[in-house]
Amino acid sequence: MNRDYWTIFFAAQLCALLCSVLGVYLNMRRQSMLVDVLSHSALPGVVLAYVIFAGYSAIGVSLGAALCAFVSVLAIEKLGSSRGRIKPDASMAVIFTSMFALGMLLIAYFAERTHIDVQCALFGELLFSPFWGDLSFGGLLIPTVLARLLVAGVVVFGVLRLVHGRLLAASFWGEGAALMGISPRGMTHVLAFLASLTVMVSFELVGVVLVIALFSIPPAFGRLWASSWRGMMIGAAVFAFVSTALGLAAGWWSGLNLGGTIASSQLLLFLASFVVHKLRYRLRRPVEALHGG
Amino acid sequence: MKIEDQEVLHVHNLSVAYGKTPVLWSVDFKLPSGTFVGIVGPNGAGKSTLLKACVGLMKPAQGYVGFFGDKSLASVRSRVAYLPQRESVDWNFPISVREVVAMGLLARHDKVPARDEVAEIDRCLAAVSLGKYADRQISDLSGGQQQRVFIARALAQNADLFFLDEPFAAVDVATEKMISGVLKDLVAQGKTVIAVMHDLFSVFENVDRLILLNNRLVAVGPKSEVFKPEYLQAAYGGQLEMLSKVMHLFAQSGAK
Amino acid sequence: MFADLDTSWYAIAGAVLVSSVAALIGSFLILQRRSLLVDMLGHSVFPGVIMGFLFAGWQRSAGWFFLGALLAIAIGFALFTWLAADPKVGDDAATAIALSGMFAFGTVLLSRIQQSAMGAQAGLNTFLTGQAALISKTDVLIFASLLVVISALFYFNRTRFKIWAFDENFAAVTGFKTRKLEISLYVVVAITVFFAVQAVGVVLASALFVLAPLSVLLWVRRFETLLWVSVVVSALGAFGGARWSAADERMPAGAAVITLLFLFFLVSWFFSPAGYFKSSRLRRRTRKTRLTEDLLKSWYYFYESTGSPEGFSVAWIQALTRIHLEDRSVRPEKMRSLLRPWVQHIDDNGFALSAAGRERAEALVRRHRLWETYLVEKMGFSPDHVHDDAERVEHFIGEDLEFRIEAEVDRDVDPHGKPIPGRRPVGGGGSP
Repeated sequence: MNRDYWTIFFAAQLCALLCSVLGVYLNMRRQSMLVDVLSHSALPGVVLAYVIFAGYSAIGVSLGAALCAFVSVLAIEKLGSSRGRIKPDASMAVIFTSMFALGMLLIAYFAERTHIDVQCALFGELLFSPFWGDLSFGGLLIPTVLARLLVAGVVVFGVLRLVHGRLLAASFWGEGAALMGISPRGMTHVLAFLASLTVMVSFELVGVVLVIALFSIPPAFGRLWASSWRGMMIGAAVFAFVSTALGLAAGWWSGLNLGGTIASSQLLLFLASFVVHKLRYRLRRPVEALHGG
Repeated sequence: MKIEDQEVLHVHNLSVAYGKTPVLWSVDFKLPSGTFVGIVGPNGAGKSTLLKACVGLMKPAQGYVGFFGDKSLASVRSRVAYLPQRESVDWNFPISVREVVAMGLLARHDKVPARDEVAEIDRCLAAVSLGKYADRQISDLSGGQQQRVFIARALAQNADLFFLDEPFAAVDVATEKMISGVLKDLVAQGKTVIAVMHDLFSVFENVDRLILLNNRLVAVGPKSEVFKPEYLQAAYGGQLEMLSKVMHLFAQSGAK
Repeated sequence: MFADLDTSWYAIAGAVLVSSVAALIGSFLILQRRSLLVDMLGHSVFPGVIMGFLFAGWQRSAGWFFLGALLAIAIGFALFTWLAADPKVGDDAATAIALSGMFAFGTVLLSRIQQSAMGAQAGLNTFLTGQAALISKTDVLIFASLLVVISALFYFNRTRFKIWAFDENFAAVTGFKTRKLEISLYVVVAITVFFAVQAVGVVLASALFVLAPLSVLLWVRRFETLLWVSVVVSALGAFGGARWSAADERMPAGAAVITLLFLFFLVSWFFSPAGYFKSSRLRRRTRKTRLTEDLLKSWYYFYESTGSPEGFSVAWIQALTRIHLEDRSVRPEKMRSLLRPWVQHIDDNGFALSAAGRERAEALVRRHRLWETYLVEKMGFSPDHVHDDAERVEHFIGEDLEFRIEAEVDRDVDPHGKPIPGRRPVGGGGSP
């Protein structure tokens, strides 16, 4: 395996790790669909970045996407509440579709200046990522894709270290956490920021939709088999590693889109484990379970 | 219709589980008609689950429930009413108080209420003092009024057996008194009311019979026999605060 | 211009009809918290689209295409339902997993047939942006019949659908045949999703179902009104959007329709009776008053227990009033601004109430304790029961009511033994 293969391997694994770890927090807070919202809402920001920076600029696009995603999250919170007429899921649906429509409007009117590679945005081009170039760090040549992921990883894990305790409290205690000065909303904002960052460095690898799989499937596996948040985190990370490796292998062997094979292998492995989970209760007669504990 | 003094509910060895977590096991008891029964127990004791299993909303892992002389629920549905916890309904739904009560009539006759049945709806609303609110949106109501709407709907069903899940939860005192009065009227007519309750004082004031639950059946029987320290302790375990309140109650009632 | 109108007549009619059906269904979805279902089903359709191309080439209207897509939707829906039913998975995770999982299969399939680049590309664009412009006469007829059938279904069963939508448990316990209703609804959803995705693309399809009903919900009081007005609103939005798109060739029809519907939503959100301007202003004012009153009461309790009317630091009060205040996250700055009208001076070290402030605080506590006494003495409640009720009711007792209660109550300590401040002497005249 030459350098390019290792680049792809590490890029995929880093990406999967980041997504699964953040995904655990989102899953605990029942916000797995936030990633869908973030990725779709970012479109207007991306287009505006193209317009303002007159072409593709990594920083511009990232900033535009992040800003848009953040504004969307604020709008969703303002619009919907469990106790109002507009429920949270409805407000999410309204905002992300309207933002996406706005993005499409902008693309239509600024067509000359925006050259968004739809194929790449939807499906990613993990296979070509080594060819994005290299960055040099004092003589050491690191593929751009890995550098980006590493930077994102440092930021994400750095912030998580700081807020982890409060994040857990806000997830489990909700209003009780407010007494301690932790705002569940603030935690949502932090998560949304970290998730946006991760989506931005990931979507060119696996595509905007498949990144949802990386965020939601490993944590679901973790939740199925773990009884503590620690177990969930470890389970999700291990699952992400194994399924990504298998998906990569399958993709290399068959020549199919790597993002697709990774996400598909995650789904298949998860479904297999779900079937086992269901069978556990069928095979063990409920009455025995009751008396045996 | 006079209901003979028969057993109106017989729960046979009922066990219910959520996945692999047991919530109720081997619960078995009979209840006669014409009583107000309270189901009490600590959080997680399976009280709501017991109600849901009785009305068929949850499938038991083991056991079954018999009604009006051991008949199945399917054959006596029109005689059974269930009032869930208030949170289980979306109170922002665009519907008026009158329409909600009309649902009870629909359940009773299995067809859309005719014009002359408007009087029946008004009667049920009057019984819970919501006559003036008939055409209001349910989103305009306070918690106590919402609970009364549920009661009015159940009255419209004209059932013989009522299951209520926490009817007095987060309800103002005037409403509590009124609902309590309505329920006692029902019992006086020979119907049966089974209510999950969390406030031991309300229980003490209202019920005739008591079921103590803590995932298992701790005790069942007339209030005077069951409302005793040893049973309450078995049900509530080490929840001393609860016990001390009960001691206070006894001290008070002992003086009467 | 009329020549244009002729060829785009079908597009406009098709868009209007699809929007109408979608809005009809969307009313149910939003009330049952299933707004993201369409997003999930829309993405699920992707592998079906690819399979359809494999079998039918790129004749969109071929039967294989339709079948493949419906099958994919059915599989996606089954997957979602199966996962969501398990409490260890949950609705949100199940939606995300089904959505992305099915799309992953589609991705794999697509990369398999990437050789026929042309066919795949056309399919992709349809999938993303819709191709309302290519709606044919046959399609319009299909949509029209769909609308008629679905409307009839809902109309003739409207009461049962309403009961099921409002209170599923009630429907189940009283023996309504909810199974048939659910199945018919989801079959209708599946078919409509298929057409909606073709019309406006996968992402915007959700909006077609949800935007109009959500806007209308803010205006109406009855469920039936919601259903039919949503249809009208959605149809108008689709008409406008399709015309806009026909006039401006850069505009994709889907984005145009959604933009118009979103603008109506914004207007509704701000200006409707249930909207921002009408409701929250009132709510904010009421909340402010209650908060101020609770703060004043807290001052009184401290004054009572310590005897000193001055010098409490705001931070100290904040820490200890967490027990008394409903809104526990009130910050010191907010407290200061709320108390300002009632204080002589206020700074970081503490505050001192003015005479008016003290009177007000005393009145509030008096009303609270009078109400408690009334409940216990006259209504027979036990002392443990009455505090929470009094916390709520005290804000609504005005002077008149206070006099009347005072006349009824002939004690001057409350049920907890605390004196009722400033009450008129027992047995004295009760009229204002």
